[in-house]
Amino acid sequence: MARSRVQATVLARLLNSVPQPVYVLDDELTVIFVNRACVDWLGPAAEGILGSRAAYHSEPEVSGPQSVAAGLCPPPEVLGGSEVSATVPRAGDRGQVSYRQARFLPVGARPDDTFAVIAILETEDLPQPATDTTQSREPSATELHERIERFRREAAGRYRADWLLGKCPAIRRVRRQVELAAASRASVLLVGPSGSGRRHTAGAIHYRGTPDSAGTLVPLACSVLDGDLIRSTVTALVSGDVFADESAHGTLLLNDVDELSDEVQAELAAEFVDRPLAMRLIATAKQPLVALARKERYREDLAAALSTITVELPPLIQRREDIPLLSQLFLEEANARGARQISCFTPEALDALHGHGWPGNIAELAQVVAQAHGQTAGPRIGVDDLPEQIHFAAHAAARPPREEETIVLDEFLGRVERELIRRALGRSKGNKAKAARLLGMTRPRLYRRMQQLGLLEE
Amino acid sequence: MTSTRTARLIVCERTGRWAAALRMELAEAGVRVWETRSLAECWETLAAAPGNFVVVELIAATADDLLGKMVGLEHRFPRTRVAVVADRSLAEYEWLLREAGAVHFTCSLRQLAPLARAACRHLAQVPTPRQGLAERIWAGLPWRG
Repeated sequence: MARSRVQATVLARLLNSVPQPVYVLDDELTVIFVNRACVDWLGPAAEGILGSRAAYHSEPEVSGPQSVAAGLCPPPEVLGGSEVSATVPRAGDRGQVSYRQARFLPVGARPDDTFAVIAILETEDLPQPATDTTQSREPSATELHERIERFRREAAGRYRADWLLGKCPAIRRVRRQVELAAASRASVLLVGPSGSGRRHTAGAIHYRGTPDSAGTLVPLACSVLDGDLIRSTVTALVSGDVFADESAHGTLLLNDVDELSDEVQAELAAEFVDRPLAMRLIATAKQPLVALARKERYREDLAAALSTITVELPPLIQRREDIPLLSQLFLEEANARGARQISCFTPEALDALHGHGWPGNIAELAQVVAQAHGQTAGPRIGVDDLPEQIHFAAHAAARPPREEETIVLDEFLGRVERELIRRALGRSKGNKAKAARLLGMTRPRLYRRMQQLGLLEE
Repeated sequence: MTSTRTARLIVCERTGRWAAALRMELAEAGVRVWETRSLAECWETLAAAPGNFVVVELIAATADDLLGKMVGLEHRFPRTRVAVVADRSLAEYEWLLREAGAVHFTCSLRQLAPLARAACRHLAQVPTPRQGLAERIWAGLPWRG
């Protein structure tokens, strides 16, 4: 014991004498050694770093040694036994960040049994990204303003009301409502199935008329973002903290607003209901919010606040007569994007498009036409140029039913058990007692099963 | 809308540091991260699985290219979602990129948890290609490597 302590001291002295910063992490990513060069590089921030975990975290309030240690976190491949190079950040006194290239060496008996990671850093910092003018230069106010203006002009061209072309009564009504909505600052709810053009219609309302003064459009994806993030963004926008003067013209677009949790609904109601808003509100949903509120599946006050004008976008199958017109529109768009110019569709191709079920609605049609445009060799899009999904649908009725799937139960369960034991052992880095706990069995029983399944020989 | 492959989480960046940090956040979720090094390569992969979740690193030199691609994305691959990560010096681009369709924007390697959760929710919502019973059981087993 005493001898090993002496050797450890010698090793530490040796590592402290090298010019490269070196640090060592244990298998739980705790910092267990930092050499002198590394302490010098990290500066005062290194104080107290021993014992901190070098793990990424997301809490913004984390600071001090824990924050510094997080920067030392190695790429996860190292814990799988691979030697990896990566950059290591260090925050300076004034918040500036510098980086050094580092080699991470796994230490362990086997690739899946890493018990420590040694990191050896270069002696010089990498060039500062902020000074690299082509890669990440801070934009000047003029440059950014020009970029925004250019973007909005292009967006205004792209978000025309073309997707609302058509002769059927439902789409004519939609066109009238969109005109009305674009001319007012009232809140608008766009209701329709997935792919029916809700996002496009929102863009058409926002950019209508004078794109230069349209202000910022801020879409929020309510179906994927955290409730906290939605609430904090809305609060910042509504309070005018983000855009100051410009927000008077901007639009907050709440996508899939029918998927908000009850809690976030309550918080948004507090922001929107009976309060004057600087920004226009547009929301999209698969079902009318008022109808959901009637079934007590949505807050009534929020539903009313978001639905001053409700526009119901019909699914494409309810406007089949518009398919030829829309197909030609998307073909022209594809022509405009590239050098290839295709004039039109053959009558057979139009028949196939007309007969399709369009579960993805108008967005699916746009995608099908874009794919066919890329496929076709001739001057017109023929039925063979259409993607597989159109053919599958056309021939579905003629196809024999799928053969019934069968499973040989014992064999399949054996495979599942073998796989789960392998995964549990991998997760516990080969430690059978830990693996047995993960699997809810005793260690001897795990051992017996491994023997029976032939896993001990692997 | 057919897809030939299950939707993926794709990270498009120069160095691999954002992907490494995201992998740490996603370790428990068992979501695999695919990496590409250029916008062109990244956009090519979208055709095979239009429901991908893409995390793109913003670089000042290619900002216009990214903006153009993002606006076109909504029409070409409406099921794809994009989040943007960037160096802090490019934080001013946040609202422009959101306007172009970015669902999330962050300049911090240490604040990727909300982005990781958004990616997981998105991937869970994308319909997967039809699987048999055995494939579904297999896909549901815990402790993926």
